[in-house]
Amino acid sequence: MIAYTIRRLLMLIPVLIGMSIITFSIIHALPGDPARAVLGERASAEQIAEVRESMGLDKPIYVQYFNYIGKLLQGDLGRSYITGREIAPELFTYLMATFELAIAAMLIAVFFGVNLGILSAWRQNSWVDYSAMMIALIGVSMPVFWLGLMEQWLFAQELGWLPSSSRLDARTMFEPITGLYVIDSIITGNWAVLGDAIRHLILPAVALGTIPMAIIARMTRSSMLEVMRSDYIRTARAKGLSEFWVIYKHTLKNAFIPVLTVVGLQTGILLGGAVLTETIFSWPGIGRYLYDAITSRDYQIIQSGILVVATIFVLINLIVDLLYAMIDPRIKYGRE
Amino acid sequence: MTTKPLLEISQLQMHFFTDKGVVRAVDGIDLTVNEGEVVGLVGESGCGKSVTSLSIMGLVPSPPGKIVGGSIKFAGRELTTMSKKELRKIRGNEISMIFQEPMTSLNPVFTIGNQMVEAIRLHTDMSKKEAQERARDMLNKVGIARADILTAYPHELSGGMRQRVMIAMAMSLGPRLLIADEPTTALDVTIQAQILDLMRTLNQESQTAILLITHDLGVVAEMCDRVVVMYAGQVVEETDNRSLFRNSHHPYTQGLLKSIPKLSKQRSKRLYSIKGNVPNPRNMPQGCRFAPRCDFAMDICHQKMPDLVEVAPGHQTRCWLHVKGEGEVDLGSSRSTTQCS
Repeated sequence: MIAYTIRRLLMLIPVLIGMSIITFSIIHALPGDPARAVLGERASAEQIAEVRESMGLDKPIYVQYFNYIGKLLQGDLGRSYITGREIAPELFTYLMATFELAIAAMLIAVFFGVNLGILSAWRQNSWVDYSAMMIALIGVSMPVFWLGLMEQWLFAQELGWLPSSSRLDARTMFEPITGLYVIDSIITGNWAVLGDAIRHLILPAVALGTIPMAIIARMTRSSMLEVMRSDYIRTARAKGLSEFWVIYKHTLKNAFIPVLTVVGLQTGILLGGAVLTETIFSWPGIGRYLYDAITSRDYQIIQSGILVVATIFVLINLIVDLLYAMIDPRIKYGRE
Repeated sequence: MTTKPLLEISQLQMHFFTDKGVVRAVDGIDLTVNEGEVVGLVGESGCGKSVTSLSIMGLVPSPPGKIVGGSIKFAGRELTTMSKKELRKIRGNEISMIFQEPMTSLNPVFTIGNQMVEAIRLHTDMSKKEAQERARDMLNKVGIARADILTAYPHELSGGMRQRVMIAMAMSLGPRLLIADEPTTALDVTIQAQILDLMRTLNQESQTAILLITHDLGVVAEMCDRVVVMYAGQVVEETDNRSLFRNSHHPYTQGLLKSIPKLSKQRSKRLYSIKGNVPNPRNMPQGCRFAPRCDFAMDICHQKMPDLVEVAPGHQTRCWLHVKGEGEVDLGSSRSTTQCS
């Protein structure tokens, strides 16, 4: 298992090299000049040339690439072309905001998705099944931006129950440690901030979690139905176990592998692709950070940001693969 | 051996309501298992023997399955009208069951220990440790002495071992009735003999009655006190082990016996087989269900269903040949049974 994990981590290297080459080439193939973006339309040719030189953009593209990689290997993600600030600490803050949102969204998605799937498998072809799958179908087809706006309208504007944007109330003063506000406030025992952070989390997390919830529900249903037909479920019933144990212990653990795969993939997607939700709810996350970087042609941020997101995606998949082995003893890694 | 009835099934009808019509999988069967007795339930695939056994346990998926008539009494208690909760207390405790497919009957993601302890603790108030102790004892009894057996997963065991585990699990609470649904069909011949031996020992030691479901008459000869032969959802003959092999009355039973290969016979001779196929359960013949395949079928056989008649004490058969005034042979008084088809 350990050997397998190490091997998988080593496999990250070629993946990341590939990723860096692809993002680097695509970004540089894009029309538009970052120097002009920094200086504005009226800048003179000399000014632009000067800025290009200071950014290293005058060098041949492969030299630029190797400079970039060289710095990267030293843990330096570079500086923003536009603001001149270091990218690494900024990226970390945004990433943590997205983490918090994505984790909350996935918790909602897994909890409701799995239970909805179980319910509809357990009462297959009944009205319970049909309504649960109808909810899933609606969830999967609903555009995130629309759902987000509706939530804001109903819960923030009309009912006034929950805040409609940002991570904390403007008046709340808080010094983050990890950047995950919920965790930080628990560590410091600051319950007022905890409540505030959770209240701000609910609406964007529901908006972001709805599609994964629906996908998980459908996957759970079909996987449960398959397992429920197996002989060992009949054995479990023959022992006299209650339906609850038959379903939640004997069936669910067997049915969970395909569900776990979906959970892993969806988590990865949420981490990189929460742009819409983050924009609607003014959530200072990585999606918005990257989106802003793209519109202002901030090459450095785009490159580094994409690389970090890709790394996380690969790591999540590795974790999922390792979890497989924990759930199913027949899956063994490390033996060739 | 006592002759107190433990399990009494009378006129049980288990029908499946499917989109394509009603399948009368079990159509009015009577079956009694006395305490400590080994009863064989014999018949071809699809004759309703497994459905009968699952009905006793209340394990027939519903829908589509539904008991539309008859009763199942266990130790005087009616199982068909019992609440699910009460039934669960009996299942796995007083009646336990082992299945045909040892390879897939154990949950692959839990250890043997977990699965055995779970069943034991469900029906007793033993501590986890005591339950593990009991599980280990039972596994020893069925001949598994591996020290690490409780922490082993099913995929680490062979088919024979798994069936032993299933038997140990089924016997761990000292049930009064063990239903064994083709327990040896999926196993090698040598392992089959071991498993049958094991079951017989357990029957003798703990006086557990066994309802042995099989299509193998060799297994019946080996194990059973009494035999019930089923055909197309009905009982066609019931008798003790001895007279089944020496003096069977129903042409179907006779056909089954004739189709067993014998070592003494010439090898060039073709093995006997009953002509035709089992009738489609959605479209049963009007008269005797075996008539279309029977060598002795008379006119009446195609028109009217015969009742189960007693041809000798404890020996019943469902055949016009043995009904007074109809067939040539007349060995007993007719017993009237209601037909609900």
